[in-house]
Amino acid sequence: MDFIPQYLFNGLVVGCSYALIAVGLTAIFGLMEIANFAHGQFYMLGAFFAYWLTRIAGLDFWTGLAASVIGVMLVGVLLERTLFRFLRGASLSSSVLATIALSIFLENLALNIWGPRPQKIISPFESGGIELLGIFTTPDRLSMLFLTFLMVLILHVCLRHTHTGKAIRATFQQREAAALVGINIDHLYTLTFAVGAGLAALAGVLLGTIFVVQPSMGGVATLKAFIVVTLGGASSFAGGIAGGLLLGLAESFGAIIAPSYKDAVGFILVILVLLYKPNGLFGKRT
Amino acid sequence: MSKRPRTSTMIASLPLLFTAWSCMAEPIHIGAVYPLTGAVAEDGAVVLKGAKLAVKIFNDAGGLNGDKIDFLVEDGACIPAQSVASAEKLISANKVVALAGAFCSSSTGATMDVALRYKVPMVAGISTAPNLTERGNRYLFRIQATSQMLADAFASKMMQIAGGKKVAFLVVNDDWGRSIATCYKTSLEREGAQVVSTQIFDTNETDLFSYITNVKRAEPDAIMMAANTQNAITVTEQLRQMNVKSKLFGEGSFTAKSYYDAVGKKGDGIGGLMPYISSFDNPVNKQFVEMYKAAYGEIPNNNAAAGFEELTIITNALKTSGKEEPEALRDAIAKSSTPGPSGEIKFNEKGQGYGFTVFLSQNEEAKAEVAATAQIDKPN
Repeated sequence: MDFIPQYLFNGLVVGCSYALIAVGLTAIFGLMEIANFAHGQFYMLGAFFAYWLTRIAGLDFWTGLAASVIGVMLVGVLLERTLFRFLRGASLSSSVLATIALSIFLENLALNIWGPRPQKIISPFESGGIELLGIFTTPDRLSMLFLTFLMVLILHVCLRHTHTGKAIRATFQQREAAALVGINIDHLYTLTFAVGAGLAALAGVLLGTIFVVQPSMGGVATLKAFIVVTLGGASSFAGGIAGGLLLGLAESFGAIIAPSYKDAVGFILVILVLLYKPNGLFGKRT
Repeated sequence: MSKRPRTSTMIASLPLLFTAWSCMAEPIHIGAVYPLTGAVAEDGAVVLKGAKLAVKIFNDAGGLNGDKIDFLVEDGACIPAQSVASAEKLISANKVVALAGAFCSSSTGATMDVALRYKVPMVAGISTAPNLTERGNRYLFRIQATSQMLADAFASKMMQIAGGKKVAFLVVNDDWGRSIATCYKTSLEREGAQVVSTQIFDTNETDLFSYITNVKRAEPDAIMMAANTQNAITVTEQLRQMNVKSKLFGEGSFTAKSYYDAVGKKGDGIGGLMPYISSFDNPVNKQFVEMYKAAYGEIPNNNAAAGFEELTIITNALKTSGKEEPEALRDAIAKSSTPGPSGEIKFNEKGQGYGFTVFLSQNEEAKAEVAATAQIDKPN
């Protein structure tokens, strides 16, 4: 029983990382209805940009973080204009094929530029573990928790109280009607794609200080993001966050029962949720 | 009569000269399946460096009667299906006469069936899962000590260092990791150990806190790990972050340069069960280390030594057999005795290598020091 708080905290930290990556995919998948199997590569690119800017170009961590996120957002805009624009309205199989190809291309591009060696982003905090009320953690993990909650708050405020946020919500609800009332869907798509990519990049930078950075890190991130989006509901930001936290906690506690089946926990959860709520926990009923 | 050859004669002999010239230097196609992408790509790149050095030495010395090796490498990514496809391509399309690889035991286990089917000898370094040489495949030659051999050699010393009986395992989820949990359990229990926890994590897993929490709850005196590349880095950092005080041992990348660059002195105190250490005092090793440093600007680790040994065994078989055919090479490898950086490498009837030295290392000041050595005798 002593260790329950440790498992709970472990699960929250991992859940936050899943939520951060998945919210970006929710925006892209939910709004544009494109199954973006390259989403995890934005996470990878964010981490590599931060590695390059801080370790090689010598920028401080926070400037590097901001520059990396903006850099990946620009990559997102470029990809949206040159590739994803043409996938709108295409069949699911077309978007799956195209984005898998993009994912392979980006991973191998990173491999060629930065090599296979696992790298670390130097954290702005003291390295090493800390003990808080019997729970072992690190300053990086705590900052990730804090920044995730901050991002969720910012997202909530923007969606609720800004003109653009309302336009995004309207387009989520009913795209054609939103276009009819004068919302510029094209600009909105580009913005949403950029924000989605940026959120994944932020997760990449933060997790790159906690774990390691290497070209193969994007694939797993994509898989987890899709599990979370399926769990939470494809067009719900709240679903993305709740799904991420739920998956993180389930995996953490699942590790007590059957450690080598920890990954299966996510898939079992998806099956159970879809049996009773086919559109996800927070998804719209169609 | 003019003594000068006629122009027409000279022109007519050109095709003959061409044919003669092309017959003089035929490339010898040798293939390798290594993980060049994916989770262990960094270690795969290092194996390749060692392998290329051995090929260079052979080619620079003139090859075999002027024929030089054309070394063809395909990416297996440590994914069995991809490794099999790579081996198929090398053998059927590129007509390689010998194969090296495939790094991960699961991939080697799949690829060796391809070697058997096409009757092409395959030399495997790195892969330590014992069952590979128990499948009756006369085309597979494993130059590494198995996990069981390493466990039997060092179990007693490990228990001495651990200072207690409780042992836990923290291993990667593949044939290699799982066989380490089995093999070391057998050997350590023989020395009086009690296994209190076995945690198995996926190679793509980055957050190991839950597994480490499981281990901590069992309060082991020693933890045996199996981890390559980024897994070795993350497991070390997270064990330190969670303030785990147990004595740590591991097979895998715990003495790699990329490991030390990432974790520095956090790796200190970890005991490595290693097939190779660069500081081994052996003339062949000293020469290998010098050549590797000259070629790549860094000290070789066990992965580099394995790649070097794989190709050295193949090049030596070319020289002793004098032939470039798979069956002749297979027979030459089976009877071979090759000086390697860890000692002489011979093979038993099952294709299992023996005769070399293995090491229990200790990380000190981000370097591997030798804590104990053992000679691997001919297995049954």
